[in-house]
Amino acid sequence: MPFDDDDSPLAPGPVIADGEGGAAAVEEALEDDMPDYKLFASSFTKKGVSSQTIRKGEKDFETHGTRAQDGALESSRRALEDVLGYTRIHRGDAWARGWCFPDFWTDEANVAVDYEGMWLKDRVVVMEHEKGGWMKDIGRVASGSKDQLGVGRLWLLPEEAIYLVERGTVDLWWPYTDFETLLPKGSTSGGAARPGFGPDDYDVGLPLSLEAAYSLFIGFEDEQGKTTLPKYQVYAHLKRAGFNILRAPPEQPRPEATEPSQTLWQWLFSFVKPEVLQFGKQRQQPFGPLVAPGLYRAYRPIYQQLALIPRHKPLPVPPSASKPEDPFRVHFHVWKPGAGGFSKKNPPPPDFRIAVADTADSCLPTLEQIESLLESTPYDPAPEAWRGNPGKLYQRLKHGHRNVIVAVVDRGLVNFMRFGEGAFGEERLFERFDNRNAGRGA
Amino acid sequence: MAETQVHTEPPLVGTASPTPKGPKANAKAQSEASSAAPAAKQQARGPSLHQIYALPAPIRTFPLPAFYPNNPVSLLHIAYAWFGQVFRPPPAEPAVIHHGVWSETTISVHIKDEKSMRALWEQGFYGKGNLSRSEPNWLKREQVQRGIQEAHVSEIFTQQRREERAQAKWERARLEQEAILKTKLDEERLAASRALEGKKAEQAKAQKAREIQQEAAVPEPLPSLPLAPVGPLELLALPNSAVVSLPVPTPVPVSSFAPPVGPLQILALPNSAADIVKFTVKTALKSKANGSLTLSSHHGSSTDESEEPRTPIATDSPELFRDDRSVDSSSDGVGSTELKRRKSVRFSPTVESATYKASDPPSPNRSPPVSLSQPSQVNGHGGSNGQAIPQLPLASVPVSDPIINKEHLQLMPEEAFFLSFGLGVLEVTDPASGRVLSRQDLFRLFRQYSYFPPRNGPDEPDLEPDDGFLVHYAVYHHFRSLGWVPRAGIKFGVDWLLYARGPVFDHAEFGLIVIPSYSDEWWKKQGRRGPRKPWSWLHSVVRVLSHVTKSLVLIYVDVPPPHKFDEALKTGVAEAMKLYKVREVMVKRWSSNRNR
Repeated sequence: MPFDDDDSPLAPGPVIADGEGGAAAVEEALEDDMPDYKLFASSFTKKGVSSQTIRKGEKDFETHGTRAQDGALESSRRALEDVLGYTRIHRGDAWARGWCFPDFWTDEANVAVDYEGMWLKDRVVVMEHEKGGWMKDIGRVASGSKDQLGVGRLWLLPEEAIYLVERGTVDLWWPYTDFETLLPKGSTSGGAARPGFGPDDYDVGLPLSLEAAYSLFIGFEDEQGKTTLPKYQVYAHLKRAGFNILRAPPEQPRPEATEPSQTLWQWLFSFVKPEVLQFGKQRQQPFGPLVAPGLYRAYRPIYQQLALIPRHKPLPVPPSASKPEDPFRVHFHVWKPGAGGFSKKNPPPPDFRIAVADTADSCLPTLEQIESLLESTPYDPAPEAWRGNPGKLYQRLKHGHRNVIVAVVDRGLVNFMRFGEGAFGEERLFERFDNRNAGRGA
Repeated sequence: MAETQVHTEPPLVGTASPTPKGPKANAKAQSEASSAAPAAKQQARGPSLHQIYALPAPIRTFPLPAFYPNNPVSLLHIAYAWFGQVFRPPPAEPAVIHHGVWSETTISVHIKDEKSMRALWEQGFYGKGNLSRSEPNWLKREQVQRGIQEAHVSEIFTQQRREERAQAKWERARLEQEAILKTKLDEERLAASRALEGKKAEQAKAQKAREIQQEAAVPEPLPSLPLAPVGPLELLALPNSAVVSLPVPTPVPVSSFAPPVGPLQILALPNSAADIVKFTVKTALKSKANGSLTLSSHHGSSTDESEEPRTPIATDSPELFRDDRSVDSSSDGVGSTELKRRKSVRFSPTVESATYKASDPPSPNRSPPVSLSQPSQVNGHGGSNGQAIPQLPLASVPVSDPIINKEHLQLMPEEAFFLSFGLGVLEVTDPASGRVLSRQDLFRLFRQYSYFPPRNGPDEPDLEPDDGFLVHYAVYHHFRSLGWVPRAGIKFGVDWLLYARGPVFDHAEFGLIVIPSYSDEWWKKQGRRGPRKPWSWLHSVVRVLSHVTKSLVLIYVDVPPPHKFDEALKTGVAEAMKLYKVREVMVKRWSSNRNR
């Protein structure tokens, strides 16, 4: 009998009915603090280390003196060493250089088309070569008249630049000469290095280290051309997990909530006083009991009399328009990696909206913060198929009517919490009470 | 009933005789008891849960029979029911008003009438038995324990299940240890056989050399050579020449030294020849006294070294590896003590030593051996078998005493106020004056006692609209009025647990945490803010709840400013409560790995 709340359903033993819960917990525990060396190691099969040697299930933390265990531990240690000892090679033909021009677009002389979501003034690195398959969601090509400098080239945001440098994809350089000499108008960007501008010509610029990239592009909130460390960490975390991720465009001023036009019927009814319609409420005693004594044929009128606390009604267009404030503001739009048809120029509606909060300077959002954060996301109720299905009650409630993800960064560790706009007022369980007994016998 | 009681008791007394049983016997008895339990339960099947808990609220409804257009008789049926209700109307609902007593010390309302207790529990799951986990079933439990009644009592059931679980864990750990031991033995045997081969070859060479030597000397047949020497001592004791080889001492006791493998065995190695002599005498005496181990058997088993080194260690250091139970019960085979010697439970949350002291019992429940004879029930450890439960009260309670129900139902202030103010099915009396408290009095009382210390004196500060009772009552009323069943959630680290139908039918799916919120301008001017909970707090709550497959709902309660609240309170509690806004925010941990 499912009575006992005291008992952990995950406790091992004969009680486990579905192993799903337990397995999920183990998986959850593992995915948080263990890098998946198995994946890495699988690329080292030529060295004789199979992915099977790294055990990901049971943790062997205590030697029990058997040689078999020692062997297993040793081989897994060796696999880890192989992974860590891997030499990264940069091939000459894949060399791509990015030039650091932090103030290029803030300069009035340079003009290109800027619009919502382009973040042109924040784009600080221009790519000299465009090679590789990383451009699906990284960088934007500045558009405008061909006579303008910088137009027609791929420009990177600070977080994109650091990420690419960290991956070793892009060689970031600091220019010693002006933009025009380095990247003349109308030159092709995919070709081989021009003479005098090769990887060893240090008189045109200076290669920058990863450390330099961090110090150039990590800054404070709202600093132009920079990003904050927590935001970069969230970006890198999601990029490494394979997601497509773009900066969310700034919030548009929400269209004024227009009064839905009244039908004639509604207009006629507006003359009738609400008290007359709700004659049940009229009898309500100010000091209780709310349920008037009497003969009841159903539970519905009883519970209707009990309704007292205003219930939240989720609306497609929320009435109040308060602007979300940092950190509870959607900063990234994220798409699942598998989804086809993603284009960074015309992105489809995102799968997830992510705000970034740092544990050091934020805490649990207040009602107003979470409300305005949720209201900045579109109305997203549970799927139509779930509606009216009593078996989907919990899923419906958990899905909520709007949802947003807050990435909580604790000194570099990224965790995500999903907040959903709940509406228990939409789930009136008492409506089931009246046919409960009738339906039970059948 | 009293007679049957007398009849059923004596055999139980017989089984309760405090003869300490071996752990095996206990386990067996338990498995028998658990296998017998389902059969017994099948017999004692009362009314179904849906019949017992048919009413969702302590108010009855009188629905008219359904009308079927294709069956005109159903119309008559309706007419009959309707006229019956018109001429002989059922009493106005709520027909039964329950009586409760305010208890200042526990800040709750006590229901002592047994019928009311059952009614409030069965019709909407209100309150909690003060001697039970939730359902007030102390009496039933007591009866089952005394064997008067065969029924399902969840607490007893849970205890049994826990024991089974502990047993299963223990069994798993044992199997794990056995597997480890087996691999270890295999590896040792492999190593030993390898070493043996190497030495045989060596020895054969040495013997050849010796034979050549001996051919030159007096050709005398050698006494029967000892078995192939394996251990270091034996190697040391090997004759270096024919002259020495003659007075070779009997190698039998020495051969009991296998190559020392573990650290303990190395420590236990004799330091001098004198030690060896002492030791051999001792073991010889012991083996004689035992009678089970003869010298010849010792001799013969010299190849099977793996088991041997333990014997000397066990006798030398009685603190380690001693198994008290095996000493007590002679029936226990040697094999089982062998298995239980080295225990290391890998999943234990507390750090335990891998070896046991003499005072440690071998049973999984870890109770000292003495307590086996006197089952201690209170901590739930003593009754390691199913039979121990009914044994307990026999000693103290006279057999024919009728059991008085010592339990009462306790209602939280929110529950009591909902029953009184919402449904009107409860009256609460003040024990000091014996008066029935009016709803306003009750409201004030609960508000006063939601502070600590209670603000009920003349000098105490005024009550505020954000006191604990009001904020929680708003949440409680909100969910109750929608038909949900909220119950106290402190067990899971939340404010409320939310059941769709009730704890008998389903697990709570949601844990609610109430967060007062101050969005009104007046509060902002006052600088009043809600609790500033850190993110780590949120993560820990979510983590705990996900472990019991519940999900967290943050309930933000927007508190009205005092002037508005006091104004509304003048017209009634209902008007005042309408000023509270309740917003639910569903919280779930999101994992990037599982949402790709």
